[in-house]
Amino acid sequence: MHRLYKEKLGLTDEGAKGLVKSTWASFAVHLFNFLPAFLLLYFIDVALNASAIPKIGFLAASLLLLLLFYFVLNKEYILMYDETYKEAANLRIELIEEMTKLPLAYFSKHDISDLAQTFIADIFALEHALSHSIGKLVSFFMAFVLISIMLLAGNWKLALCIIAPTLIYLGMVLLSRKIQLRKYEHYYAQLRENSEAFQEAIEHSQDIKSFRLQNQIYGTLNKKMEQTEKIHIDSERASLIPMLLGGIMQNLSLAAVILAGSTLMLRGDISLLYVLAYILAAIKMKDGIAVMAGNITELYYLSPMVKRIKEIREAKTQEGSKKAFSRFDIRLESIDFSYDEDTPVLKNCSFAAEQGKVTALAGKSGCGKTSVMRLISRLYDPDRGRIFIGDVDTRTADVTSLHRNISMVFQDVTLFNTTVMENIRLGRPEASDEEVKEAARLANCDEFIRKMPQGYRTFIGENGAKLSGGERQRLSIARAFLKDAPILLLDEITAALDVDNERKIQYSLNRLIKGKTVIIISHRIKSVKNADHIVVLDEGRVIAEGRHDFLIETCDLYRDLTEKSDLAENFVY
Amino acid sequence: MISVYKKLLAYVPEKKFLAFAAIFLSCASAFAVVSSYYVLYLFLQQLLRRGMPLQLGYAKVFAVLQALAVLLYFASAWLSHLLGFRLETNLRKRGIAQLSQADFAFYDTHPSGLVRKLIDDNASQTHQIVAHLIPDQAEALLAPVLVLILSFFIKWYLGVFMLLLSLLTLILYKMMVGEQEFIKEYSRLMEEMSAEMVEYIRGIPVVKIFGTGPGAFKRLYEAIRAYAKAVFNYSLSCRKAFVSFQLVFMAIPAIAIPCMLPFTERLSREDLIVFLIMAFFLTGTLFSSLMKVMYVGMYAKQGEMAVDKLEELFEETAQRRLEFGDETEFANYQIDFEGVSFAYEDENVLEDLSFTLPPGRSYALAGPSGGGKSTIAKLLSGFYQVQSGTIKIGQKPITAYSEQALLDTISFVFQDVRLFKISLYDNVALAKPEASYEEVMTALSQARCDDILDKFPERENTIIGSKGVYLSGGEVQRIAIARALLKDAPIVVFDEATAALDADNEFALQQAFAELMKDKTVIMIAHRLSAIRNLDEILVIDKGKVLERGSDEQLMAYPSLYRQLQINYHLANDWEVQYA
Repeated sequence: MHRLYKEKLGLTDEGAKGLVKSTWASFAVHLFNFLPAFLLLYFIDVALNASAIPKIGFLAASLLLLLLFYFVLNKEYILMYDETYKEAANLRIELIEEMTKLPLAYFSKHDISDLAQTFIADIFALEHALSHSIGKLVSFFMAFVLISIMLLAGNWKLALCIIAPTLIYLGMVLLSRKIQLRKYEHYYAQLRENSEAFQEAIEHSQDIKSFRLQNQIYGTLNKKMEQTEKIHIDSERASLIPMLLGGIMQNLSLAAVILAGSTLMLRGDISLLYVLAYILAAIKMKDGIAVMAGNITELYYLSPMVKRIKEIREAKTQEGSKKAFSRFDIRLESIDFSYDEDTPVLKNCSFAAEQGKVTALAGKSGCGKTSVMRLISRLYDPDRGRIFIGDVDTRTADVTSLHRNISMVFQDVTLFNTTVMENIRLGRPEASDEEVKEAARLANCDEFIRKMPQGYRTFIGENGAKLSGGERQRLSIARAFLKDAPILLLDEITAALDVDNERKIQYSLNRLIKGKTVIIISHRIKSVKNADHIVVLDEGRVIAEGRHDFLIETCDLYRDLTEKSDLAENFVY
Repeated sequence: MISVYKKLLAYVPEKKFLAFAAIFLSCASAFAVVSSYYVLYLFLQQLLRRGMPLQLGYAKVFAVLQALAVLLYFASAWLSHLLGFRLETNLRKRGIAQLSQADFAFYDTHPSGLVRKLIDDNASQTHQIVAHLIPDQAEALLAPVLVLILSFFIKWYLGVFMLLLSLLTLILYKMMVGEQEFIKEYSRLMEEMSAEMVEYIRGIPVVKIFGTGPGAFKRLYEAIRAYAKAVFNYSLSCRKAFVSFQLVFMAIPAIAIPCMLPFTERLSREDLIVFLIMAFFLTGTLFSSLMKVMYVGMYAKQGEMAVDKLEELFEETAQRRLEFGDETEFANYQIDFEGVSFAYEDENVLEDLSFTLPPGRSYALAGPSGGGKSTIAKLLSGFYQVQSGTIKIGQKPITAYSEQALLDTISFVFQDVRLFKISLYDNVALAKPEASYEEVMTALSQARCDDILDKFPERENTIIGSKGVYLSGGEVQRIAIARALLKDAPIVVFDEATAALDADNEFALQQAFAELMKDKTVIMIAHRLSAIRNLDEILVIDKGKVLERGSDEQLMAYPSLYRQLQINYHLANDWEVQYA
C-alpha cells in the first residue's frame, strides 16, 4: 500500500507512511461501524425471546461501545487530519525545493505566474484529498470485502441482495466516469478553442473597436459558446444513464433484502432475526456508499493534479557536477537549437569568444542572437553540439558552478519584494552593506536609491513594481558589479529606455566590462563597432566574423546593416 | 441563501422555470424517500407481529417509492444541469458584451490573460454550483423536516428522540464549524502564503542563477509555517466536536438502547424493536442530509463569490462605458486639450493640461518615458474617459462625435500592434472594407512592405499566426502603417518604435511613416530625436505638462530642455563599447 500511494499519488516517503496509517485507522472505523448493529441485534434477540431485559448489562455494553468507538474515531481523526495538516508545511516546502531543481528551460517554457497558481491549487487539492478521501476510500473497499465475506457466510442469498447492487452501483459510477472522460475530451478541446478565441478577442479589443469588428468577432464567439453548451449537454447526458441506473440499483438493495428476506422467512428458511440483521446491514452499506460517492468524484478530479505534481518531481534535472573554471574563453561547436521541433533557430552555429575581450553578435531580428545567450548560460540546452568555457563542456557543469562565473544583464529583470539592498545583494550574498552600496554607485543607482523613502531599506513591491524600466535595469547592473563574474552577457539592455537612462547605463557599462569576457547584443551597430570580435548571424548560421573594418569589406549583410543604421540615424521626416 | 439564487437566476431569465421545476422535483424526491420510510415502518410492524400472515405488498411499494425517489432526484439534477449550462454560457456572453464596452484604460491596466481567466473560471464554477446546489439544497433542507414529522407521526417518543438528536447535532455542528474569526485569519494566512509562493516560483530562475535566494524567501517559509500551524490548530480545535458528531450517528443504537431502558416495562417488545430500528434507519438519513447541508453551504458561498467577482468586473467595465455623440462632420481638425486630467487607477498621469494644435501641421512629442507623451496620444482616440477637462477636435468635444466619425478621422499606429490571424491582405483591408485590390496593394507597397511579402511564398495571402510565419515588431508596425495609409484619415498619431528594431526595419519604417505623414495633421511620439528636426513644432512633455514648444530652430536657440535632450541623445547614440 505504501508503494502504491507513493507511485500513484506522487507522495514522499513520509507522506505515504502517514497515509497508510490513516487508511488502517479508517478501516477500523468502517468495521466498528457495524458493531452498534450487532448490539442492536443482540438487544432485539433478547427482547424477542427473553422474559427480562438485563438493563445493567446493556447499559454497560452501550457505554463501553461508545467509549471504544470514540477512541477509534479520535485516533482516525488524529491520523487523518492532524497528521495531514502537520505535514502541510513539509509537503509545500518539500515540493518547492523540488521545484528549484527543475531545469531553467522549464521556467522559460511555462508562464511562471500560471505555473505558480496551478501549483498552489494542486497542493490544496492534494491536501484536501489526503485528509478527506483517499484513506477513507481505500479502507472502505478493504472493509467492503471483509464484510461481504461475513455476509455471504451468513446467508448468501440475502448477502447478494446487498453486495450485487453495491457492486453494480460502483461499476456504473466507474462506467459513467469513463464515458464522461471520453466525451469530455471533445468538450475540453472545444473549451480550449473557445479560450483561445476569447483571449485573442480580449487582446485585440482595441483593434476590434478601431475597425468596428465587434459584431463579427463577438458574434462568432457567442456562437462558439452556444455550440459548447450543446456539446457539454451531450457529454453530460451520456454519463447520466449509467449514474441513474446505478443510483436506482443502490436504492433498491434495501428493498431487495426486504423482499427476499420476507420470502425466505415465509418459507421458514430463516428466522426473523436474520431478516432484521440483513436489513440493518443493508442500511449501513447504503449510508456508507452515499459518503463514498463524493470521495470517488474527488479522486477523479485529483488525477490531473497528481500528474502535474509528479511531473515536477520527475522532470529531468540538468545534469552536471561541480566544476572549477580556470579559463573563460567561450566556444560554441556546431550548435543546433530549436524551441519547438518545427522551427530551427540555430543551425550548425560555431564561434569563439576570447577571454577578456568583447565579442558582439550582429544580425537581423530573429536571427538567433538572443538564443545564443540563453544557451551559453544554460537557460536552455542545445539539441546538438557543445559549448565550452575554457576547457569545460558546460553540459558537464552544474548550473550553480556555471553561474558563479557568469553575469547576465538582459532586458527583463526579475526583482523581489524585499529591500533594494537585498535585491542587489543577490549578486553576491556574502557582500557587506558597504560593498552593496559601492556596486550601486558604480551602476549609477545611488542617486535614485537615496531619493527613495527609506533609501536602501525601501521595499520595492512585488517584482519591483514601484520601479521604472531604467531603474530596474540599473539595479541589475549593480548586481553584476557586485558579483564581478569573469563572464558578462549583455542583451539589448538599453533598447527600451529613454535617453537619460540610456546614458547612465552606458557610463557604468564601460566600467563593468573591464577585464571580462563579454558577449554583447546591441541594436545600435555603431555602439559595438569597437568590439574585438563581431559575429554576424543570419537565420541561425554564422555567416561572417571578424573586426568591424574587415566585415565592412567582406560581409554584405554586415555592410547593409551598418548602412541602414546610418540611414536611419540620419533620417529626417 | 435566497439572495444567491436571485443573483444567479438574474442571468438566466429565459430558463428560470428550470430552477423551479428542479426544486419541485427534488422536493418530490424527498417526499418519496420519506414516505418509503413510512412504508418500511408498516412493513416492520407487520413483520414483528408474529403469527400474522406476512404480505409482500409493503416491500414492493417500498421498492417502487425508493426507485421513484432516485428518478425524481435525477430529473431535478438534469434540469439544474441544463440551467447551469445556460447560466455559464450567459455569463460568458455577458462578459464579452461587457468587455466590448470598456474603455481602453481598462485594457491598459488589466492583463488580458487574467481577464479571460476570471470570466472563464468563474462562469464555469457557477455552472457546477447551480447544477449541484439546487437538487441537493432542496432535499437537504426538506428531508430532515419530513423525517422529524414522520417520527412524531409514528410514535411521539420517536419524534422526541429524533428532535433531541437533531438539536444535539446542531450544537456539535456549530462547534465544528468554528469561529468566524478563525476563518478570516485562515484565509488571510492562505492568501499571504499564496502570494509568497507566486513570488518565490517566479524567482526560482534567478535563485538558480545566483546560487541562492535573498532573505525574502525566509518569509515564504514563515508564511507556510504560519499557515500550517493555523490549519493544524483549527483541526485540533474541531476534533472533539467532529468525533462526537460522527459517534452520535455511527453508534446510534448505543445511545438509543440506554435511552429506552427505563421504559422497557411500559412499551411492548414490538414497539421497542420498531423504535430502535426506525431510529437506526432515520438517523442515517438525517446524517446524510446534514452532511449535504454542509456541502451546500460551501457551494453556495463559492457560487456567491464567483458571481461577485464577475459582477465586480461587469461593474468596472460598465463604469468605463464610453459616450459618443451623433456629430459626423468635423469643421476642421484643430486639436484642443482644455484642462484635461487623467489617471490610471490612482496614479495621476495628466493634470489640468491645456494646449492647442492648429490643423494641417506636424507635431512631435518629446520627453522622458513616463512623462505623459503616450497618454496624450491615446486620449485623442476617444476610447478613454478623462477625469476632468475636455478634449476637442474642430472646436467640439470628441464625445460629441459618433464613434464611426472619430474612427474615420484619426489613424493610430502604436507600438504594440497585433495582427489578426487572417491573411496579411485582410489585415490591411480591414481599414477600408470597400477598398479595391489595387488600393490595398498600393498601401502595402507605400508602407515598404514589399520585402515582407517577399519572405513568404503565399505573399499577401499568407495567414498570420500560421506555422513558420514570423514577423518582427518593425514589420508588424509597417503593416499597421499600410492600414493607416489605406484608411487615409486626416489626423495621424504615430508612436515611434523604441524597442530593439534592427536597422533594416527602422529605416523602412521611417520611410513608410514619412509617406503616411503627407498632407496630414500629424502627432508623433518621438524617440529618435535626430529625425524630428523638420517637424513643424515640438512639444516637450514631462510630468504631464507641456514644458516647451516651438520649432527645432527656436528650441535649439537657447539652453532649453529640448536642447539638453538632443545633446544627451547624440551622446547616447555615439556611445561605443570601450575597454581597457
